[in-house]
Amino acid sequence: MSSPGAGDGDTGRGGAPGAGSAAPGPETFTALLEDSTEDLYEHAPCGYLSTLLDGEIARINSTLLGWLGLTREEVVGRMRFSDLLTVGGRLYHETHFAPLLRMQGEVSGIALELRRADGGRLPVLVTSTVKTGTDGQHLLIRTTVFDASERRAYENELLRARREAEEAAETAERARETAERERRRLREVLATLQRSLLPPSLPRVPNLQAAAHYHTASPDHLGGDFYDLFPLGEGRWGFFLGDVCGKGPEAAAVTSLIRYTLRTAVLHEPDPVGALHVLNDVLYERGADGDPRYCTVIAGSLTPSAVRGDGSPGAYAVRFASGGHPPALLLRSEGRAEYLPTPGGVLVGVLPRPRFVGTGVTLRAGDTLLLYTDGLTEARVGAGAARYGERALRVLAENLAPAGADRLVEAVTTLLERFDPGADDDTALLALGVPPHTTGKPI
Amino acid sequence: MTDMTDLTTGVRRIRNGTILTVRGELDFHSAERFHRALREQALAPGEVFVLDLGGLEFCDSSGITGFITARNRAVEAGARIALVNVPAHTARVLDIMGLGPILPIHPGLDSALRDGTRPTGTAGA
Repeated sequence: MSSPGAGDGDTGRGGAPGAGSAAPGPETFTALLEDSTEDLYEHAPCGYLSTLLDGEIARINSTLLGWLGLTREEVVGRMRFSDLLTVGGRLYHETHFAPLLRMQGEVSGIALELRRADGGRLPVLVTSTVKTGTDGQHLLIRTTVFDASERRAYENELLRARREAEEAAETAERARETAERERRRLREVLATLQRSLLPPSLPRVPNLQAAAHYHTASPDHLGGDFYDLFPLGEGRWGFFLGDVCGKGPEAAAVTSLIRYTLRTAVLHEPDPVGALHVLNDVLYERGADGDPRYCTVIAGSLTPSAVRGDGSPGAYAVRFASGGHPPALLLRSEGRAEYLPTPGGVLVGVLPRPRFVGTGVTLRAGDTLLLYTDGLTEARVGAGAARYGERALRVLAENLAPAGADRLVEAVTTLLERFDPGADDDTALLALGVPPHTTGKPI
Repeated sequence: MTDMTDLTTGVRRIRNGTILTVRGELDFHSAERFHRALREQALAPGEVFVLDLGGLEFCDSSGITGFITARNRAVEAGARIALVNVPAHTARVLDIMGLGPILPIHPGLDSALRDGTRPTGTAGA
């Protein structure tokens, strides 16, 4: 911009220019312009100052003096530009600003902070140019100073908004991680609880192959299926497998109650039908207090027979009773598979004196009995309403037979995994089989 | 499986009976809604409480528990329960569970409402 006076007006050190407050001559446009130029310099909406090459302030406008809270006498010829800056600003001025200005002849838009007389700080944007003589020699430095407090506030606001957005994103991410961790933890707890409802491992029974599997449909819900195999003394064994209606913690609590009740009942009741009546009484009475729970179950016992030379049983007589449970499946040593129907047995816990149906079979060498819950037979196959069904299970068993308990459970487990997510419900499997004679074909 | 399953119920009162229509999926997630619908029914002695399951698309053991609760409410009120339009799959499950005599399945509304008539559609009874 042009200097207010003619020639080197910048160097009017000490001699403060007129305040330019004389009334402008309205007669001529020129007079108005002249006067306005001076007034514009002094009261421009930005600060102006001119310094010598060593930084000494030679001229400064009223706007800047006003911002600083200083008088012209305190500044001109007494202070350097860097004296107006904060400590940090002064350092930056010395190491970057001044060298750059010497090199380039111009530095623009540098953010600095000015120290005000009252101790406050004023954020500013500073632009300086070096005025050169006709021979290219550096003569002085002209500097404009813009009040950046508003702009700084705006930038701070932007920064704050960005920080808040980042914090919000972080918080959301943390919440998501926490939820995910909680979900994993819950699943672990549920899996542990589920395992606690089942025997940790099946006992070793002389000359009997036993295998079990629990298929969980959803890791987020406790299922209500259960099974057990346990000693009754004198070489006899008790077993059961069932399904509590509903799922979740309430169903699991009832599952625990059922397990202990059945273990005791099968031990003390000579007839499995009697054992189911004991369980029914417990569930029916419990249901009278609200939140009734029912279960389907097959419970029974294994009694050794046909004792062999080494004292181990060659066969087991199986007696069992069913309360509303899908029929057990028997795989015969000669390759057939058949259901052992127990129709009419009622879901346990619904009626005060229900009917339960008992049946029996002898497991000889090569025979295997499969107990399952209806998660298997009621698994959806395909997109429609079709279910796997009892017929398909019998065909599968017939194709496998004769098969030992391990192989049978393994085959059905593979099937269940193939159903996913068709299996809406948990499935428990328990297979009990007498191994074939050692002379027979391996199975 | 989603945590929200679609279940809608509707009530129709007729002479000597209340018909509760059940549509959609009745399972662990929607069972509470079914129980709420049950609690809202004031059954009169001697009437027939009909569960119309024609729109039932899915029913698991939580649903069966709900039917038994409906039956118990009917018995307490001196009413009797009848199931109509039962999907084949649910009928099979009820049959295996030995619930035929407890939750009588009728081929239609007329049969369900006929007083003292032995249900004809009850499997295994």
